[in-house]
Amino acid sequence: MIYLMKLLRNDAVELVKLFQSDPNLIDEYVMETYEVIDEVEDLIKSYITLRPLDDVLRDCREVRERVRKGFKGRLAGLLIAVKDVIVTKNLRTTCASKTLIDFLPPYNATVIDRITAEGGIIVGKTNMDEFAMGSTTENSFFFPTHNPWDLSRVPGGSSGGSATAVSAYEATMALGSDTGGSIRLPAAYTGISGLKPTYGLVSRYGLISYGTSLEQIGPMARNVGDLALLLSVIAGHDPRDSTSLYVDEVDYTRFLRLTPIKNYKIAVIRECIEEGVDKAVLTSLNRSIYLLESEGFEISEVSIPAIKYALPTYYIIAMAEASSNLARYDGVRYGYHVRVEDRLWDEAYSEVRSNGFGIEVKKRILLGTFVLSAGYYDQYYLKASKVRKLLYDEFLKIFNQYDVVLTPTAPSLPPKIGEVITDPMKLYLSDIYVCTANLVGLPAISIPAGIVDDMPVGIQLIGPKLGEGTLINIAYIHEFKTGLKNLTPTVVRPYVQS
Amino acid sequence: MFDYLELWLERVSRLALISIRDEEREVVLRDMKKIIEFFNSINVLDLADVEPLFMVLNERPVLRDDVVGTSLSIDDVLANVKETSEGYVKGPRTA
Repeated sequence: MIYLMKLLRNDAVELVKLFQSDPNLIDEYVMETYEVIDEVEDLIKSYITLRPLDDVLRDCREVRERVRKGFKGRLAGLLIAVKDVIVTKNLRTTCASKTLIDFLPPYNATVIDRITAEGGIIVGKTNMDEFAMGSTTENSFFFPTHNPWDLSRVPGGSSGGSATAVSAYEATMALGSDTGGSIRLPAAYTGISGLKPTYGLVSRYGLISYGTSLEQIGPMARNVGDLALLLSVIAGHDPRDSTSLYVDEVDYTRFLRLTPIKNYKIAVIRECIEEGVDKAVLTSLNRSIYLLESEGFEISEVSIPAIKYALPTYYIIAMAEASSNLARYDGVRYGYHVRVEDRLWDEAYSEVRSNGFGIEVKKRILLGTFVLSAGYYDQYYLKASKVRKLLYDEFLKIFNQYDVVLTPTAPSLPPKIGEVITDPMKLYLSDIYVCTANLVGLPAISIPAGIVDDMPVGIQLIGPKLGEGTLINIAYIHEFKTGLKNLTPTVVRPYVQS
Repeated sequence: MFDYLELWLERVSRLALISIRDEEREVVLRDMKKIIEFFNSINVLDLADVEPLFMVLNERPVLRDDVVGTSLSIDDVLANVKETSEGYVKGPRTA
């Protein structure tokens, strides 16, 4: 059935306003979203667990009644998709792994409680690379996710299902997690915006850990305004996360201004544009540079020679932390299980782990174990942690002079499904520009910068510590000048094209 | 060390409690070799005078107030456990 959706074309803020004036519209909006899901989900495969429509409508009724009684929740009535690495009470959370195939969490992550307190409704749990280890969403135990702009291509990863759910209007916004680019890369590949916050700004309580010192939960949306709204809801101190920063709540929507808050100075890292970047990406980046210059921003090239070591540094640290974090999976307390009666612990645990983890996860745990093992710790993990310090200091210096750093998000357009998954070097290379922000703990956003051959291209802005407001302000101006917002991919155009 | 890659794989597999199936072995060894060479690329840097950075947080962690709160119910927590005995989680033998 071809049914032109009316409500779905609205931005989140407009939808919330509409729901406040007529709460009955929430049901209509949910029905529209599920119509789109019915049409496209079999092609894209965004969701591992999609909540049944009746359950979502029950939540809707609750929100509707609260709104009728004067509830002014900032997300009241909005459907939000959640990456399956974030725990949701009594809603299956698998991390796209056989290891957690039947795990029903007994509690919510802090970000989930924050969203529902503002009237947001969780629509489902999205597909991802197993335990967030991958850049294509092909490393899922369940199935690969397809890019809605070209079904033969990957959507990026590891938050690929969250990106496609938003891009294809199967949800209004989504949560992803970003350990080395896992929000920004799929955002770029699917034509949406995605932000990795400053380390410690968003609570990690209830985020299933992969790289503890690197990762953050962050928002993904079809436009910068929606992104700022969701960030405002999820950011803030949480006593249940010992790495959570003591920061005041900020309303990031106040940075959605077409007049720049200051005359921004932007640094472009020479090493990120010199070689290995596709022409399509470079052309889009240059157009953005020209556009920002014409806004009166000062743009200069800077050099960070150590940045070419960021990728191996990131992978050494991420795998080391993964080997430690994933030591908890023994099958005894939750998830994939083998009978333990009369069995020795190492034999039982080894059977669970060998049968439960996929091949990429196994490789990363083994390599992480290696770089932490006696005789190799100094050569790999310690050395990588020193390169991390070099990069940290370099970025501190840059932010003494500049407000943001500009790079491509990915070096190329999304690869075809199956194209890079068999070669780890090709696969890891996708993260080359995005992983540095995780090593240095800084906020970074990917925004659309062009459409080449009907495929979206993204650029990345990295900000100083707690510089999310600056990123949002520049991203908003860029979005307005380019008109690149609410991009509608090929597969969903018959339903939501305005 | 690549001459000893098979032995190496056996050692880390034992440490990580993960065994590699015969049909996975060839691909895993090939990829491991490539990835370790990639890791070795940082060895050209002279980092003798550089302090390592393990966490980016400069702030001193602050402890929560020691107040009694509500915790998860035992029934809810045990709902995911496959083998229990008298309200306890049943694990394998240690010896």
